[in-house]
Amino acid sequence: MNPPALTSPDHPLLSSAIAAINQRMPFLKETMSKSAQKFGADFWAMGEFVCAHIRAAHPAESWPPDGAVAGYVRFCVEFIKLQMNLDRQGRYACEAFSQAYQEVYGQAEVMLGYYLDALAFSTAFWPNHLEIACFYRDRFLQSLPSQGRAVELGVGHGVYTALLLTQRPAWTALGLDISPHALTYASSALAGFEERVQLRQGDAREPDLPDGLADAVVCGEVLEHVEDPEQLLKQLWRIAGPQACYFITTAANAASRDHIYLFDNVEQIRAMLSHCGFLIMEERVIVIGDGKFNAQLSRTPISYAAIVCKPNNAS
Amino acid sequence: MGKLILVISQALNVPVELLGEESGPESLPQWDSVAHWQVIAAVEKAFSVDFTMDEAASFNCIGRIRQALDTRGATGA
Repeated sequence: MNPPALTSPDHPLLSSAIAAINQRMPFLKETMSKSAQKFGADFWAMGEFVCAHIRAAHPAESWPPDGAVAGYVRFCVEFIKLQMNLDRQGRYACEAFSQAYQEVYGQAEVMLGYYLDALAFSTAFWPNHLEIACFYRDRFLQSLPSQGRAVELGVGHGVYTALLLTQRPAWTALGLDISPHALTYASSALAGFEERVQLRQGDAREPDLPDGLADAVVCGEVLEHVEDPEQLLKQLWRIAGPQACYFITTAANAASRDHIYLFDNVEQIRAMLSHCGFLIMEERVIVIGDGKFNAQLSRTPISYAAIVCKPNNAS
Repeated sequence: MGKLILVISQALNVPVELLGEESGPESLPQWDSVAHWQVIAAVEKAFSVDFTMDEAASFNCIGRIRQALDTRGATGA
């Protein structure tokens, strides 16, 4: 049976992005086809949402922006090389947060040149990221009360905050990021939510936020970007009230140019969450990559996402 | 037959007769994402070059790899 055509008249932004990416690097078609087959309507709906978000970040460019397409291809190729290096060396290439800031977060040509677009695209195109985004939308956001204030630490491209503000129209959100370029990107992408979102530069490791501020906290793929994830988790605990819900994601054995803390397995992640006092309510553990790729690796790359809370909110 | 074709043939385990300047991920099912890095690693080693990430992401056919080698003055491709 032929794979379904990766185009949909109801999802024009996604369809044209797929065509542009496939034209530039045909072997990426396979991953997208698998995602479309596995996730069906969620692939198209989430993909169109993400593409609209990326388009909003590039208001003066035609769709899809050449730089975003090229950036996504570069990101995918880079991942494979970094993952192979991780497997050989047993550690991430980046050793300190200051190095990550110097080489990535503080560099406009990296953040705005390809990295944020690529990460946003991966939310739609990488099966692990898509599954986590659907988990976030369908389980975490649906579990929230009708109104409240969310904080996203490491807001990055802003897709997760955009989903929250779309799905929960009575909520407000505060996004924090240490990168001024991420804030530039997110402020354009989130311009449609201007009255309900505030973006601020800040260090997730020491957020300048009052105790108990948040009713919900989102921290997506940040733990592995710091030297001491426990310190970050303690800050997450501090800034939210006793009834707050958290959505926390991270990765084990998954290379990126700015990953620092190497979780070897999921048990280490669970143990750290528990050690910091969090109760895991629901989780997703997803192997990254296909069987052929992972057969070449001794370390299996894994994405992890969990809805957690403080124990007195377990009911 | 050029050295570049031979190197890529061995990396992909594809007969040299099936490879030409236009050959790439679009025409060769063996040239998937993993094979892409196997090809690049083999070419880098054979010609003592080190491609940038942007170059690696632009190699959608053998001809593009040859152009990059030419730009670097790699001989014998």
